[in-house]
Amino acid sequence: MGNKLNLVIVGGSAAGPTAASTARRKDPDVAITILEKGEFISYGA
Amino acid sequence: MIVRTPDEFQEKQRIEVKLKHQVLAIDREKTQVLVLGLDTGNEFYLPYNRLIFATGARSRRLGIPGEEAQNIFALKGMSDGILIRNFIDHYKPQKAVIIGAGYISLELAEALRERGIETTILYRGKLPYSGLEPELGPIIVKELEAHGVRYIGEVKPQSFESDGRIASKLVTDQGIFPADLFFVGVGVAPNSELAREAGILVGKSGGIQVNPLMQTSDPDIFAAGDCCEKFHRVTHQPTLAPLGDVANKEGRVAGENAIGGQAEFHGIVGAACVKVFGLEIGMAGINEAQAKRIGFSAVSQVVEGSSRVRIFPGARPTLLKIVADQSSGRLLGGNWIGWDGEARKINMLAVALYQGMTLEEISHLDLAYAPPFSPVWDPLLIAANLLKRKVS
Repeated sequence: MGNKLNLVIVGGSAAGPTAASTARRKDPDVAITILEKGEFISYGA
Repeated sequence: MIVRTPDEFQEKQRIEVKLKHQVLAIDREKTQVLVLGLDTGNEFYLPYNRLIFATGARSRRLGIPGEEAQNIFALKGMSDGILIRNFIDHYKPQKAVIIGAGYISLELAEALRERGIETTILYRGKLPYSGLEPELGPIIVKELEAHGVRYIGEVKPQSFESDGRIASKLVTDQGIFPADLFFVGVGVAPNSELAREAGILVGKSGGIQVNPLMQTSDPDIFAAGDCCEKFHRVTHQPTLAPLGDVANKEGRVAGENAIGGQAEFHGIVGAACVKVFGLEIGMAGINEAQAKRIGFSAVSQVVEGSSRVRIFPGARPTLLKIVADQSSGRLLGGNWIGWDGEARKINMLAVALYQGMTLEEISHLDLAYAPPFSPVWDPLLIAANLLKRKVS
């Protein structure tokens, strides 16, 4: 899984940040961007 | 509750977080997304090899006149909570009307009462919380009323009376309800438009269709959380379940597979719980009416008992209803309500449902017993034994 990928995640509440963190844990090289239209990320509401 | 900040993501994990950036469109042919910076007004393209939709869900609206007034709130995200708290701190409202009686509305009623605000819940159904067994309704209403919350069922909101900025009354088919604070808690709808516009398959539920790998109809694009459908292990049908714990599990699977993994999400059983003042409500699986609608020959059993050995201090009444399929004897669902740990006890049913257990199997379970925690015959064992007699 060392291939250099661009991973784009749309949404930053619960599923998005978890997906981003998991991808990073499994692959140190992938470029990860989270796009969130609101002003908060990674919250439980 | 904020778990992590954008800086933490960048510094600890090299994950770039762009807040106030809205995705306008997905170009699957060129594998890029069109992004709008909400602060700058700049549009730009961002290329992707893999994309994950985690676009969540949005609050449903009533769609009645006057709903845009500033003192009518939805309850979805963090920003709604901050708006509400600021409004309450600033205007010190005395009287609130909540439209809707799902778990968000019930939790909100408790929070408003803690601030001393007079609170009325209006609901289109007869009893609170659609999806719960009707046997639970009167217990919930009694608990609400015992804590000063007025509950009125079978109400159809028609319009808000407002000066354009602030609403002062809600007009309904059951009369006029004045208040200085209104909440609309009538459920959420998945944010699947971006996916649909990009030609990705969206199910009848309105959620994005995914396979167990959390892959959409485009194998390079994944979805996770409230925006996508979930496989229901009891009905074997796709369903929506907008819950944070499910979203986290799906996010983990989508994240792993987006970089080439083969993880799977094995579906939900519809387990959920809510606290209403002292009352604990747990639910799992499907209710009797749903089971019949789907075509199961459903049978049910209500057990009203004690949460602990009856003479033990702290023992409270408890009510469990379970539903099973008459032909297979398989458990289909259950609701558990009371004042003594029911929100956790429901997890026994969640496990049984996940494993597709029958009443026969459940009736033999070796459950932990001690007088401070349960009666010698756990209500679940009593219910399974009684309902066993009604299955073929």
